[in-house]
Amino acid sequence: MLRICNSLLPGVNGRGSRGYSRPVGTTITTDWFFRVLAHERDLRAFLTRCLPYRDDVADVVQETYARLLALSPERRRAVRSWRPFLFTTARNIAMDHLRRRDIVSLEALPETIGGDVVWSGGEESRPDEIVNLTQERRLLGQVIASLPEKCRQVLTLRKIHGLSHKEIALRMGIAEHTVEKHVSHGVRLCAARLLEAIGSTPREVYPSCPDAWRRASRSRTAPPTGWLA
Amino acid sequence: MASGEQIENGAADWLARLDRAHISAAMQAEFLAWCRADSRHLTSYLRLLSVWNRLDALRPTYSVGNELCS
Repeated sequence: MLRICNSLLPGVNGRGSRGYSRPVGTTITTDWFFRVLAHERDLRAFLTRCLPYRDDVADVVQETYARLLALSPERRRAVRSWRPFLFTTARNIAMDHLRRRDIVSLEALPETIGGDVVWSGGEESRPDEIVNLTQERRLLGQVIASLPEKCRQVLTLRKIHGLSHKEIALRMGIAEHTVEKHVSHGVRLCAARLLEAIGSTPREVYPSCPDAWRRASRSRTAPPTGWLA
Repeated sequence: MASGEQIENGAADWLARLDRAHISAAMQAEFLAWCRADSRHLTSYLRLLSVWNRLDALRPTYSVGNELCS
């Protein structure tokens, strides 16, 4: 049974969220899923090559995500690398779709889909390749900077300065309802642009070991964000 | 049936509504009803929420935790 819990609510960590602070750590649930989403651009490209109908691509992506989100925490922790897991799940769902549509002969399916480059080069055994934190912050900054003026201001005050909707409304002289509109529009634009940007950024193989990640990230400094305000 | 875009718009509106200081019991109930109405709703919402939460990496105080190394 679905319940409202912190992990289902927008997370805001750190200072500046007076009267509105959720415990640090509420973003844990979505962090693993973000690692999955980092492959969305490639996943869509892969499915577009496999499936004749555009609608099917969107459906298969949705269904694939739903299946991953339904994994138990234990099962999820056992996944070493999301990319092959994601593509395997999507391929199986895509094959079901094709069978239902009865478009190609069943014999042709494994080759049509399985022959993709994704399945070559020992992909199965590699740890996730993701952009590193410095790259990611640069991309995030670029995406925020690319938003329409008011939308950019609202998201900057909300996500970087940690102001509440009420505080943002006061600061900008707009209604709280308008702040909400900008958040809604902004998060959609950010999702589309960020996942596209991450998907097209050359990746480095990043160590999956927590210690190595921490060591690597400790030396990095936050990007200057003054220009965003 | 609602299109993917309509679902995403709905999910984004919910994210913006829940991103407020106070969430009433009525609003919670309404959100849960929306989640249950279509299995794609929650998936779409969590996709946007993942991106939204990730924007916190821009905060000066942001630090990386173990959870990123799943």
